[in-house]
Amino acid sequence: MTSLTDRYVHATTRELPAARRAEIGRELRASITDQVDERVAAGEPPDQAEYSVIAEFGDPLRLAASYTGRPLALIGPAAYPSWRRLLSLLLAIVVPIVAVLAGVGAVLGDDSFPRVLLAVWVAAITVAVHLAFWVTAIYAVLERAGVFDGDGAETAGAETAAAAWTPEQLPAEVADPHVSRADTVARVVIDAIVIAFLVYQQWFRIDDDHLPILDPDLWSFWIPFMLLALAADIVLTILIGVRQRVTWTDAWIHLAIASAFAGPVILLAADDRLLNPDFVAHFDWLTDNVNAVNSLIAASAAITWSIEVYDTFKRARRSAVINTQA
Amino acid sequence: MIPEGVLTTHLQELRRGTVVVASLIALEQPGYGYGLLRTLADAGLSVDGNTLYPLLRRLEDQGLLTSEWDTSGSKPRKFYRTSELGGEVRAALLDDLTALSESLTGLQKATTP
Repeated sequence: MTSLTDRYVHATTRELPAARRAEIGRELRASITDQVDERVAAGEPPDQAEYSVIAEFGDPLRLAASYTGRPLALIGPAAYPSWRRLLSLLLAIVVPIVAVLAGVGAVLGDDSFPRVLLAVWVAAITVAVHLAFWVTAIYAVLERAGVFDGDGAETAGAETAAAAWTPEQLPAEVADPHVSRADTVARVVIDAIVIAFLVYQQWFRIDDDHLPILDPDLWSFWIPFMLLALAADIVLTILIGVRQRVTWTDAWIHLAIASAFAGPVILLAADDRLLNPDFVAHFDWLTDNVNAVNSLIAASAAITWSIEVYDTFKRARRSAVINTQA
Repeated sequence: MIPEGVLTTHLQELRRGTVVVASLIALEQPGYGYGLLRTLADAGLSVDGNTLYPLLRRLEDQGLLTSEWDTSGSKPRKFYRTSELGGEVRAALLDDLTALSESLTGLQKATTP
């Protein structure tokens, strides 16, 4: 029968480079035997002594790594900050873009509403999993190739891998504690709900009649245009959330985006081109009051636009004040 | 009363580097793995085998130790010995250890009223 020591030495040396296996194995075996012998001489039963000594040596994988100096972590402490920075940046930028593109593609392909949602969901999950896997895999390989060894300045590899951190990498401005994660999520969810409504209303049914709420002619330009504005708002919101502060540029870009959404709504409602005539005709009270409803829609859009734009400039001002104090 | 885990962790941190110095001192006389472990333990520097044996290998790879197999006894044993380079490193480390100790003493004197 193979002894516990044989099994332990084998389990350790199989993790070592072939050239060193035999020699380290021989020395390790001698060391274990020495320790067992001493315990036996002190009166311990041989089996129990062998068991205790090997338990003390611990996990063979750990011992082997200690011999070779190989890292015991997928992403070690030297690579971790750079890995985390890159991965969160990629996730925050790529995932929303791909999700929106998938959604637009599904809408243009005339898919049903649940299918559009499914397409967005699947695309977002797929791209996030791929990003996480490949970035981690590349860093794990670089880690094992020794790119992150040393303090950064010592090896050329560390510099090319951007593992060396310099003060220039600090964010230009101090984070605004008011730009919270919950805030970012809430804004994205609201945009997503509006996007979902714009898409969903196309399949709106009353009894068995197919009655889109908005004029289907708007799909030729205005609805895709508004969807694009909402997608842009999601990207901007996420960027603000990642940087944790609102710059004046952000506020101006947000003004443009908000206008690109509210502008068409107000103008189309004012011209009575927003609602689907068939949908209006289906309800007597709506037919009688269509002008009032259009005015209400235009007014709501204008008020929402004012509040949002004012709020963003207020946030930008607060971020700026925080930075002058800091 | 110091919480047990806290002191253990800090003592480990403090002693980590001293195993290298201790080995470079002790191996002025040739010694094999377990023999060195006993020598260090008797001198009050207890260290685990799974730390010491790989460490000896790494010091050998760095050229601070030389080694030789002795197959004359009942068990074949690998004997290590501090090399000339190892002696220089040992001197530098010991100087640093003394300087550290002096600095700490000086700091303590300066801050104790």
